[in-house]
Amino acid sequence: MVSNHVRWVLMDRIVTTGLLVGLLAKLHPLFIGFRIYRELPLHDSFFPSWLQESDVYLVAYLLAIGLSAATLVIRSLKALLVFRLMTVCSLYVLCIHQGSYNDVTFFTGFWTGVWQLWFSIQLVQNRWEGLETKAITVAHLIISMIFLGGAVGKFTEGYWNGDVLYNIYYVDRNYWPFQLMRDWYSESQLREIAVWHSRFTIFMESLCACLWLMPARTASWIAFVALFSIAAFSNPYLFSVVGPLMGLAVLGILIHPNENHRESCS
Amino acid sequence: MRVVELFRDVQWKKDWSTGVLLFFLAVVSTVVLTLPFSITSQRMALNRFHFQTPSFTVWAFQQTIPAMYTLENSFDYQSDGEYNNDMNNLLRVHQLNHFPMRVITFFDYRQCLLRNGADGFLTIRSRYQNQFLETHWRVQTREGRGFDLISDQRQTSLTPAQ
Repeated sequence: MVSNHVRWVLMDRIVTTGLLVGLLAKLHPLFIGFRIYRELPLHDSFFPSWLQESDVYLVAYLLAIGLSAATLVIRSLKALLVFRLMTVCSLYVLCIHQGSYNDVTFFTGFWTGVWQLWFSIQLVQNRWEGLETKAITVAHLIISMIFLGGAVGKFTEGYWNGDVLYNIYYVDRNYWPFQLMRDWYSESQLREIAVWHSRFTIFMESLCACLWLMPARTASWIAFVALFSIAAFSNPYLFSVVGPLMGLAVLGILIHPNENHRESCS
Repeated sequence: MRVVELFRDVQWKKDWSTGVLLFFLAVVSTVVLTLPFSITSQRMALNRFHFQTPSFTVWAFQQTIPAMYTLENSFDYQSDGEYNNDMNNLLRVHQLNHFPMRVITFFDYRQCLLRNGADGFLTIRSRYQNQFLETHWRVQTREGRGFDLISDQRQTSLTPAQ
């Protein structure tokens, strides 16, 4: 039987891999952004001046990646905790920096980092009893909260009647599902499809806001399929946004909580 | 239920790290849930998108709350500068699904709007249910390098939507 220690390392690395996939997908656009922010600095009175600096933007991003990658090899729990704390701080800086506050990758990365920090604290404090079950539940709570934001924001007339999705995707989005549908269907049919697409999205996001109420394995599968579908069928760039959350979602699929944890730990 | 087990751990085993995390998740979820019903929450969300939150610290806390929703944002940008076709195409799309100020702050639009080095006027409008916010901004070239983004508070209006 695989020992609990190995399973905890595996859980941590699955989530770290998801986070790294999301962050690394931003590598190229981030360097383009850095160059433009240096060429065309924008000064405003809302952001503190250090959060308008392009260097801060780059350093915070590189720190988040470097620290996360380092945790794949370090062995000390206390070092892991410090690295996790610094990763969360770096991701938070990106969430409030003038050049990156709107990038949802850093938002999902931040909450994934919070899960990692919490998990490290549990390990350092020797709170091993039932840790796998707790970790999966906390992951589901975080994903549910993020989907709740998505669902509630769509409780508007524009989403219910399909106008918003029609304008974003069906008019001229250059991506294969929408190109195919534009070839196959008339404009009025596309409008009808957009209505049901929109209502299905609201339903799915509302369902995913309740993951924490479902059995763990079912919740993980629903979350994984929903996150994958969001990126695969609407915009592949969104894999950077959903990557960190997919890391959290697969925990409940790949890890089977071990009821004999006391024996294994002793 | 799984979440009840977490609360038991917090209560009986003094698991404060889990307690703090659950508390923050509850606060964030509560703020999100009030959005469709509370005018205060709707105004906070609109102000957040337009950098009109009274304090940066409050805004920074709001950044931990999910914002992947449309507030029916639109923008106009007027400038004396000239744009090529690619930029005109980008500017033709006047709808933005979230964080409309990114039209000037984020690198893709910033490059399009500011590369010609001309001053400009930016208007951002957002609506959520019955709340409507319109803000006006001046974009001014700086001596030396860069631009200043200046809010024109006299023209800012937060009103019930027509």
